[in-house]
Amino acid sequence: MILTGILSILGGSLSYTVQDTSAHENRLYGIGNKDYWITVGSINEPVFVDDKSGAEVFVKTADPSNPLDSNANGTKMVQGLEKDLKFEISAGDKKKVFVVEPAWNDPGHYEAVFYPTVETTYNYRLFGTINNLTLSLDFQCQTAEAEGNQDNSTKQVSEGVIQKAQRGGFGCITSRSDVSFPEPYVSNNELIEMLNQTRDNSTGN
Amino acid sequence: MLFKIKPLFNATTIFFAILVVSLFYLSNFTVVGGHAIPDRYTLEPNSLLETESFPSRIFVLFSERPDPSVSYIHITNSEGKRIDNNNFKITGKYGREASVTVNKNLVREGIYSVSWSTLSLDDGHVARGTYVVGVGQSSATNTVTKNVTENNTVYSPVIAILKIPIIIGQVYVLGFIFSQILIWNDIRGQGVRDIIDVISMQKFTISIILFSIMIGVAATLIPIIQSLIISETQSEYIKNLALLYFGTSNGQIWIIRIIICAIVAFVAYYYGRNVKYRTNGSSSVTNAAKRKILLYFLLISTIIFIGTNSMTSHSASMGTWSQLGILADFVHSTAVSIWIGGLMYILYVVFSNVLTISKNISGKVQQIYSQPKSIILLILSRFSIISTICVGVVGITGLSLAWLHIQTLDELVISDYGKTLIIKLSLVLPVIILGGYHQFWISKVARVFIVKRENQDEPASTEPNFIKTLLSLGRTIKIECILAAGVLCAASFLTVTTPPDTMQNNEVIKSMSNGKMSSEMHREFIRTLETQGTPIMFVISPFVTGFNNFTISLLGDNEIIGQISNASIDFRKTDHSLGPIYATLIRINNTTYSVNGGYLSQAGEWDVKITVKRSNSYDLNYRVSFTVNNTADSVHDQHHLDTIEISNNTKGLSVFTPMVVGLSFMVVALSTYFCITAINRLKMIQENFALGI
Repeated sequence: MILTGILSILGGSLSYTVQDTSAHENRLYGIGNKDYWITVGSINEPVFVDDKSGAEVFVKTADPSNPLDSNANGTKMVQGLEKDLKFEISAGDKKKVFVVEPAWNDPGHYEAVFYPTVETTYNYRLFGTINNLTLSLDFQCQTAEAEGNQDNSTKQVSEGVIQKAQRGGFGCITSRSDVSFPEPYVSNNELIEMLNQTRDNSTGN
Repeated sequence: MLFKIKPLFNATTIFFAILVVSLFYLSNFTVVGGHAIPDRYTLEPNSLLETESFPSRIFVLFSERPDPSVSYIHITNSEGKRIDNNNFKITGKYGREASVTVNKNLVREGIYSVSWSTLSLDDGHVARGTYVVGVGQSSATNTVTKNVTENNTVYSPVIAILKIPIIIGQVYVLGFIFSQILIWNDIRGQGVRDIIDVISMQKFTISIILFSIMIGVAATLIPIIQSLIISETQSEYIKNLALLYFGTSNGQIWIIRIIICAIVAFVAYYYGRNVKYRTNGSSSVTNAAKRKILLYFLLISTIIFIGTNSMTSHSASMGTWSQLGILADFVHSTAVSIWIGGLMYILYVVFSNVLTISKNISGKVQQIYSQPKSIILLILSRFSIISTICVGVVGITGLSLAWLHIQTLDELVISDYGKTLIIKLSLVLPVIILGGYHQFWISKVARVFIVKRENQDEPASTEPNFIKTLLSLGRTIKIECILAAGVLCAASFLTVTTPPDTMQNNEVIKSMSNGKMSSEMHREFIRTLETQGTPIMFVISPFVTGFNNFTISLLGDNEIIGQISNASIDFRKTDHSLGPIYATLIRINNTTYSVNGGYLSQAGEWDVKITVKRSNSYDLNYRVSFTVNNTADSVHDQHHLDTIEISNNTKGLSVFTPMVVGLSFMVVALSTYFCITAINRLKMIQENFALGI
């Protein structure tokens, strides 16, 4: 039992190390007097239509001695932002605001769960306050993650908020049709459209 | 027992401990979703290299640390054979840079795929992808041939504008020559024909020479513009230009056109000199025969020129119906040229010279015959027979071509080709109405003239009323000519707009008789795909492994499609041995996006996903699968075939068939009726006013 406990503690520390590493789309922001690595992506990637997923964000302070390395030892996860941050998810002409919840046993990690119902481009707008400054950050999924990217240019996002670096991207929600077996998968949305079509045909509309 | 139980207990404890740790570890691990994906490459995707400059080691810098025990970089040739030394290793840069060495002895000209697969040491996620590079000149050649094909099949306003002088030029040259031969054909009298030839010579020859030069210049400019569009660097531009002029079948057609233009210009000049010499008093009979031969030579040369256009028209890419299509296109173009070009001849050569002709032949024929009104009536009556026949032929061949290219009402209304055709027909209608008005004018004036003559009330040649009427007629003919020029402009745009029938063919492989390059140029994959009620045409050209042009054209209503922000294609082999390979398409116009690249690097079955991102609307996602063949093998294997059609390429009866048949009968009936009326009118006019008949 003692051994189990020791291993559990060791595992916990390992898990901390892993979650601290690179995520979906990593951006370094100067917010007020501090630098933050903000990492945004979809929950449970790769995500297929009708999967349980959502938008998630990891917030940590950058290592002052090596701010451009998101994995530097001096980074620290930022807790307690669930009251200050929200996600506005948009797809096509639809938009919806989701509150974020702190992920279980994972400080600095916040989630907004939703079920993507359409294969399309999803935009995640993270807005709220960090370090007492208002911010609104737009993230968009990428069709092909194979297009890795890295950008160290500086851009002013809003008052007191400066983007200093950007790494990688996160994939878009894809159709299950490519991986369904043995019968082709029909998404709930497609099913609803078919039913509507059948109803329209039967009523002569 | 205890001795045995204790290790078991220990083992169980360790197992559960590991399980707990693993679950705990995984529960945290799964919430992070990064991937080790390439950030930078030493060998850039889609680059073209010389064989010697292919690097001996390829480096890829990944966004996360790849696990070297399972990650790899494979380099395969177009046959799927590896040319790397299978020695993937991490070479530095925080464990993110990996490399593999290349067996340079295996590097030949062709397309190579660099496939990578990584297991991230940072988050354990697996990612894979492929990109392609070209080696040697063959890749570049394919690039050019592809783009040439694209510019010939895809809506391209610049090329269409350059085609306007070619089409207008050929119409006017043929129309002028035909009219010069036929309009004055059986006019006799004391040297009357010679006088007419001398008077009309200047405008006739200058027009022919200028139009020939205009055609030659426009035909020469087309490859220059094409090369400009497809080239990114100056050296590429020069290389592509040389290929477009001398390395493709389009280049061969350019050479033929330039030769014909030069011949026509020279012969027209010689004809003009010959007419001038006649005025110095050489043998009339010999000279007339020589002039006739020269005119017929010009006629044949121009008809050959028109033939080259028909051979490269949309009809030539119709599979089994191409012969009929080419014939219909040729007859259509010839009839249009005789009709519209003849009209221009009447306006420019006859009308402007009629008073001079009248003055010069006065005394050589009876007074009444030499009057401008007599000449105009005779010429217009003759031309009305020609134009009536031509309009009938144009109507029937035009309907046939529309039937061949358009299958449904949607294709007519939605496709660019259909819309352009509607514009063209809208311009043709007033031209025909004006033609009808002119027929009515001839009948009316002839009747009045005959009545006056019977009453011995012969009008003077410079009668003010007649001059006024002549000017009025000249104005309406001018309007008809301008509208006809508009029709020709619309026709020019039609020549560079892909017909919807081609879009629906799954695959068309055209004539293989002109060698490898031209064969490859003509192999295209064309398919119409639809999602969310929005159809697109997807074209791969040439449809062989190597560098290809991928073009999508959205066919729906712009308002329904919405504002497009981005279009891309994901390629992957169906057996998952390559891909995904990602390509961003470049915007050509509001509805057309295109990209060139060696994405189809290997023969076999491929799955392609096309994504069109739109602002404020859901993405349009299209999926299509196809089998692509290797360049050389497939082409050589099929050399014996003239035309191959695969899958749904069989031309069925279009919904327009009954309508086309009905309209054709109507055109024949109307044309015959007006032609008979015109013949009777000519007989009547010839009996009363004809020059020397």
